[in-house]
Amino acid sequence: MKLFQSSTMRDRQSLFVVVLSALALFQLSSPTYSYADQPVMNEAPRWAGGYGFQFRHESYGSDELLRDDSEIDNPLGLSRYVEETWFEGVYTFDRSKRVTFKLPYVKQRRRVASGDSSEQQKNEGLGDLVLGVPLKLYENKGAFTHSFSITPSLRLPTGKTSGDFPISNGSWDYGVSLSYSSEDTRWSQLYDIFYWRDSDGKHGRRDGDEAGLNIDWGYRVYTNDPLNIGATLMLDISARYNERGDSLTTGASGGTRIHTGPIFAIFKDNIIFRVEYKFPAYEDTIGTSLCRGQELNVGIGAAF
Amino acid sequence: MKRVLACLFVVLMAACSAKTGEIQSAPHREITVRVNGAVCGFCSYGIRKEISKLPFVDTTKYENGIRTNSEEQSVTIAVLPGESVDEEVLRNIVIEAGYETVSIEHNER
Repeated sequence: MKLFQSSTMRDRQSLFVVVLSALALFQLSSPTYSYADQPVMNEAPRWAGGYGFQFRHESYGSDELLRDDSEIDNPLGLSRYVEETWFEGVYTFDRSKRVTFKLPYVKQRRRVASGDSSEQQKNEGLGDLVLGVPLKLYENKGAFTHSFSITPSLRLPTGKTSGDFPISNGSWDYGVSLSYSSEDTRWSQLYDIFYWRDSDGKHGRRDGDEAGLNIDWGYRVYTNDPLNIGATLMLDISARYNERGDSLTTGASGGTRIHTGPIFAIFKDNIIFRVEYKFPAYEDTIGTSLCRGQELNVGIGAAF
Repeated sequence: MKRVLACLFVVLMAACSAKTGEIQSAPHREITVRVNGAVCGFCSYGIRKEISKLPFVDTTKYENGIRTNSEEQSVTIAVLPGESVDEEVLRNIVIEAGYETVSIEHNER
C-alpha cells in the first residue's frame, strides 16, 4: 500500500490534513498555561514508593486485503477484528527504578478462506503477561525536565493457545526498549525504539520478531494549576516491522507499517484519561495479508 | 440632616477600619518552594501528596493547603499560625518525589 495511493488512501490523506490543521489550530489558540500528557506507565508515578494502575481498551482490524504495499480485491470478505482490554500496573522504587506489568484480555474474530468460500473463527481469553523494568536517568533544568530510559522486558506465555484462532503462541519472549522524553511548560516529546525477540512457542508456532519506533509530540492545550487539571493534545507516529511468523496466530503475517493520529489526554490530580486514534498511513505486508486497520485506544489510570 | 449624614459617614469609616483591622490581626503565612523541573501537575503529584500530610500545613486553604504553579515551577504551602516549618523535611520530600529544591521562601500576608 503506497502512501496515499488508492481512493481510500486519498480519504486518509484528507483526514490527515484535517488532523494536522486541527493540531495547528489548537496550537495557535491554546492558552499560555498548559500541561503535557503523562501516561501512568511513562512519567508517573515519579515519586519513591508510588504505584499506579491503568485500564486501557484497544481495538483494531479491517477487511482491507493487501499484497505487499497494494490493496487487492477481497471477494471472500476476509477480515480480522481484535479487541484488547489491558490491565497495567507500575511500582516506583525511586525515580530511576520501576517495575511494570501488563496483562491483556483479548476478544478476536476473523474470516478466513476455506475452499471456495470463507469461514468465521473467533476466540476470547487472557493474553500474555508482560513484565518490564524501566530504568530512567533524569535531569531537571528549571522549566525543563528530560529523561533517558532503558526497559528490559519479558513476555510470559500466559495467553490462551487453544482454538483455531489462538490468542498466544505460547512462547517466552524477550524485549528491550530505549527511549528519550522531555517536556517544558508547553511542549513534550517522546522517542522510543524497541525490539522483541519471539521464541518458538507451542507446536513450533512463531509470531516473528518485532522492531518498532514510537514518536509523540505533545502540546498543552489547557492548564488549571489551582485545581491541578491539565490537558494535552499530541501527534503520535508509530512504525513497526514484523518478521513473518506462523499464520495461525494473531498478527503473524509480517511486514512494515506506519500508523499515525492524534492523542488527547486530560488529568485531574492523580487520575488521567487518554484517548487515541491512529490510521494506517503506510503498510507493506509480506505476501498477502489483511491491513491492521484503524486503531482506537481509550484508557484511564491513577497513580498513588 | 447634615448631622445624620456625618454620623453615617463616621459609622461607615469605623466599620471599614474594623474590617481592615481584622485582616491585619490574622496574618496568613505561606512558604514557596521552587522546584527544578516541576512543569507538570500529574508527575509532580507526589510532592502535593506528601506535603499535605505535614502537621504545619493549613489544609483548609488552597487544595489541601497546596497551590502549584507550573509556569514558575513553584509549590506554595499555607502554614498554620504558630507552627514551625522543617525545611529539611520539605527538601527530602521534593527529592523523594523525583525533583530538586531550588529555594524556599517564607512569606507573610
